[in-house]
Amino acid sequence: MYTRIAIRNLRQGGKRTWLLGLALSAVSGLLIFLLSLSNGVYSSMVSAATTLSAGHVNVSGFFKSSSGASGAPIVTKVDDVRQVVLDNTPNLRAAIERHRGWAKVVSDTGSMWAGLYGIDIDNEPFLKEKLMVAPENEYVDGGRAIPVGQLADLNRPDTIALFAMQAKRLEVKVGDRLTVRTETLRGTSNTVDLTVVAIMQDLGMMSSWNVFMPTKNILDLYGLDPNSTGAMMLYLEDIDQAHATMEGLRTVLTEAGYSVMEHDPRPFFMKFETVTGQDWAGQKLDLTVWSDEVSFMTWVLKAIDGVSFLLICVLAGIIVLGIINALWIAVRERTREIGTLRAIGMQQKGILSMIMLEAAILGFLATALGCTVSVLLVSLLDASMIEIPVEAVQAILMSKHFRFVVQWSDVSVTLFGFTLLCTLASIWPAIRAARMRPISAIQLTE
Amino acid sequence: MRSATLGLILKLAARSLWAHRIKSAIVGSLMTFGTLLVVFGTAMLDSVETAMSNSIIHSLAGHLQVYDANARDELAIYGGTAMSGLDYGEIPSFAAVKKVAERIDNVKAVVPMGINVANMTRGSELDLAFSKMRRAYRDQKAEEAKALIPKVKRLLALLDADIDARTKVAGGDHLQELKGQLTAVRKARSDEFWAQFQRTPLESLEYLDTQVAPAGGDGRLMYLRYVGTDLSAFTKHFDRFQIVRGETVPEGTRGILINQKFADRRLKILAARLLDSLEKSRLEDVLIAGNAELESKARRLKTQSGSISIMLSPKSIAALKPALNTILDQDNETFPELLAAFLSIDDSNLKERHRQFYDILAPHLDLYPFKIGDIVTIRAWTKSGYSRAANVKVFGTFSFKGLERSDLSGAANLIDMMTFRELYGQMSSAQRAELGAIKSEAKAKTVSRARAETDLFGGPESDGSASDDFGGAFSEFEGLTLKRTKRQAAQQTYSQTDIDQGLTLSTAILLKDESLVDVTKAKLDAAFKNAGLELKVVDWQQASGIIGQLFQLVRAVLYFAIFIIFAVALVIINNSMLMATLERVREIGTMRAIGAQRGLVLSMLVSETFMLCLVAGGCGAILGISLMSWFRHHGIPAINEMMMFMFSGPRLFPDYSAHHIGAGVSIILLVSLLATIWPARVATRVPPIEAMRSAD
Repeated sequence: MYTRIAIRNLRQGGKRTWLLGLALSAVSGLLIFLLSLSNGVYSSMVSAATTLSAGHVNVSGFFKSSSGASGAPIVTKVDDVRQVVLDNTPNLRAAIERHRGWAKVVSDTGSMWAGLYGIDIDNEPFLKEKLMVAPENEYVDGGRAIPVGQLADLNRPDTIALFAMQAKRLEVKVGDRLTVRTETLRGTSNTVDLTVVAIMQDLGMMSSWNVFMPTKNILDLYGLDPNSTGAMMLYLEDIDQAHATMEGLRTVLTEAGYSVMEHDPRPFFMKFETVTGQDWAGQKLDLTVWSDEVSFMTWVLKAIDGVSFLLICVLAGIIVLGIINALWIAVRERTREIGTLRAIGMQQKGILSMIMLEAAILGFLATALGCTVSVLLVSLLDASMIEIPVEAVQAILMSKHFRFVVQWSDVSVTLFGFTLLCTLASIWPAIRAARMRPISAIQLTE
Repeated sequence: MRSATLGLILKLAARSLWAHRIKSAIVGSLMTFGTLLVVFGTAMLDSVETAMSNSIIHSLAGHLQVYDANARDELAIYGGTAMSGLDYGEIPSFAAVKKVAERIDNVKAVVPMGINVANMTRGSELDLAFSKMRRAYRDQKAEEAKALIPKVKRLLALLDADIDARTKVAGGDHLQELKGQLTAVRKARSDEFWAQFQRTPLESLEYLDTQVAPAGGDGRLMYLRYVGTDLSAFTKHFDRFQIVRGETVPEGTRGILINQKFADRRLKILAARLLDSLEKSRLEDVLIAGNAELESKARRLKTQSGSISIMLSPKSIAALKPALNTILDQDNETFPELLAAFLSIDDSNLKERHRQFYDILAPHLDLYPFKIGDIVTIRAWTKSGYSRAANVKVFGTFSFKGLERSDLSGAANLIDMMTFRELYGQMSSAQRAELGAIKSEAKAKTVSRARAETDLFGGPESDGSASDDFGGAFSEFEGLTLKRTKRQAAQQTYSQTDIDQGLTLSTAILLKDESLVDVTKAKLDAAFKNAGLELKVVDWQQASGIIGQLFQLVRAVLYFAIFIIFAVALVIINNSMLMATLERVREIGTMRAIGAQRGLVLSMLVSETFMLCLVAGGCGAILGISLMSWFRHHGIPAINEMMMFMFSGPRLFPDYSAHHIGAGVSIILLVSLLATIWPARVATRVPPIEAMRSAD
């Protein structure tokens, strides 16, 4: 009965109900929009990070020839390490190995610094799956609108694959030659000439400084023993198990006699200074999860979430004021009705429940509407792949397009939260209504 | 409108506001909050912007920056979003820019600039020891040279172990090379070698220099970002610049000034940096115990005893041992153990140990990898990917006033323009003359700058044909000139004409009157265009790169938030007004029945909003001003280095002006009036008969 009365009241409220509902819908819709944007950035970040620079769990390490020497980012005697890791990683989907380096990449007209990845393309399922070859006109003025070259050609010796933004900067296309020069920490430099075999579509900021080449070229550039690697990247069935798996491996590797570094949640290139300053020599392993390798970018997520939180708090405050006001006026307007209800025997509790229920229903329906519209809108926006206009924002959001990912848990929390908020906001007007004395309520309106 | 009517309208409005107190209070509080947000938010942002502009303009950027209009990247003094190294073109002749810019009235100074990244080394310990030995023999001080033998032997033993370890991870040609080095080092460690050394010291030294020293590498490499500039003009016109240690580079001399913050954060020995960082946390009342990061630092600090012990001479160890024994009240430990005990830090001894480290230990240590007056080798990569090196003297360290603790202001070191050009790939006149001599000797061909890469290093289109004049711009003849350059560069001097006539990457322009920055920018744009120079003029915000962009983003986010908040507030205010109006249908009907025109009803409602707006907006503005005044009086502390830079010092003293208050009140007035339109329309449509109907 209370529900029926509440719905009737809401309908009688007319424009007032509609307007308040609209404001609630707008705010809840906005919340879903912001949360989807944040999830979109997170998902782009996971995708870019796990494709370009990290597995869900990474076993890498540093080798120091003497305690005062600089650390080289390699894992030596990798055959043995591999065995221990593979035997002790539960739910492993794939394991790949890459060598790492840092070099000046030089073309006929330009040059840039880039992080090198030495890969075995035949053992890179995710790279081939996620990286798309860019149409030629994306990096060459007047180029063809079709993709040229293929990533699989990295299985040929002396080859290199770049991203479109790098190709534009270097003014190269597939088939051109590039020179890669590395400088070791001891001051000597090595050079190799490579042929561009594929130019891929950009993946936000991270693709601006990564290039791929066959492992053999990195081994030659740095004069490394083939029984070594830069990092073992482990892909799990469930990315959420990354931390637990890393901790498990830490124990196993330590027990197997390996020296493992303290967990340092930073990408490997930020650890050189720390490693160089430490008093040890030889090999130490370093275990990280994917988010550690992109920790320098997580501030973007924190910033979006922080701003969303503050904004929604302020808006929720405004909405609460709106609800209090609307119900307060509704109560005054319906004084006679409430008086009558009390006179025919409805208890104070009944009035209280009725008013609160009214607010709860309004909150639920309006939020549901806002969420639905917002979910449809963000799905549409995500599907239409709208390009981000500013390059700096592209870089920060790690994607060329606006990405939105709706999480149903966010929708449920929003729906529940806003309904609760509306209900709580109605307490004061409801108490005022419930406290009315039946006789005075009827008298007042006469 | 007659004053009596106006009075009536105002009275009615006031009465109505009072009659609907709850609604007025709610709508009023929204208005107050909105005004407060606009006044406080915009005033804060503007204050931060002013402070940040001070940081950027007076430390590195100048009011305006001029650079190549056809540059591949946008100028970013503090770095951009890409990590691949920026290419913002070049200006072939600084003199041409200077000539045009100095003709503009408001221009105070024109300073050439170029940013690059390089590594710096002082040479390996082995190299330094060999040269000391060689000097001693040359000066007939055989005893002094012999005293160095134990140290050389110790260094050779370390090198032996180092190369041996590296052979375990090396492969291919590199492995063969290492094996060769190992043989040479082991020979140098043998007793026969030192016996021979006693007989023919100079020949043995030659062997050490040519066969063993290369295996020792270049010593510790330090990466540094530097700004090449006319140092005299820079130090004169950028008023935040101040020397911390040493002196400025004398006019016409080559030299480098190291940023003190950079030296402290990156170059200082690790133990000192860890201790500094722990002490900084202590001063901020953060305890080591329970803080994982600080606990890790304390653990790492303890492991530094070995590397510190190696740095100390036997004489220093003898002097330090009793001092440390007294501090620790221990007697029978070896020195590294004693040192490890000294470096075992917890909350109880941190303050004391930090002081003792600098008072007792530091005088025996080289805290920095360079000393003022040292000649260091700087190696950079040219645009075409070739490495170039130059020797320069470290004249001193510097900082920017008020920004001493900011990491961002520590982003660049300063080097003279001539050395910058050399490292960038442009030759000095002396080098050009030298190259000319080599070319004529070797009957070399002249190649154009555009084809230099192809012609010199080969390429698919190379036909080796001679082309237009060399123009004296670039040379990649690194191998030919490097050795001589290294020897002479540090002593070379140059004139103002040399600075003016060469290349620059960008040019900083400082103005006499800061407020005329836009006018001057337009004038400069026009002047460069007239002079046929294809240059882009940008303000400090554009020139600063990612910092400026981030700040714009923050501003955009604030405006977006204000927009959304006001949009929702508009709906809520509108809703409240509408409900209030509907409640008053009978009253309005009665007014209409007794002869009130629609205009009067409308005026009454608008006046109501207006009155409420003035009171609430006024309250909001007063609150905003009070908050700002409180902050202006007490200052907002910068809690991290980034804020320090944004605040242009350790505290921000924000300020507000009339336009912030005007903006706040105007926006809230506009929003409120918009929110009144619908309720007012409803009210004016109430027919007189409604008064009677509602009463039924």
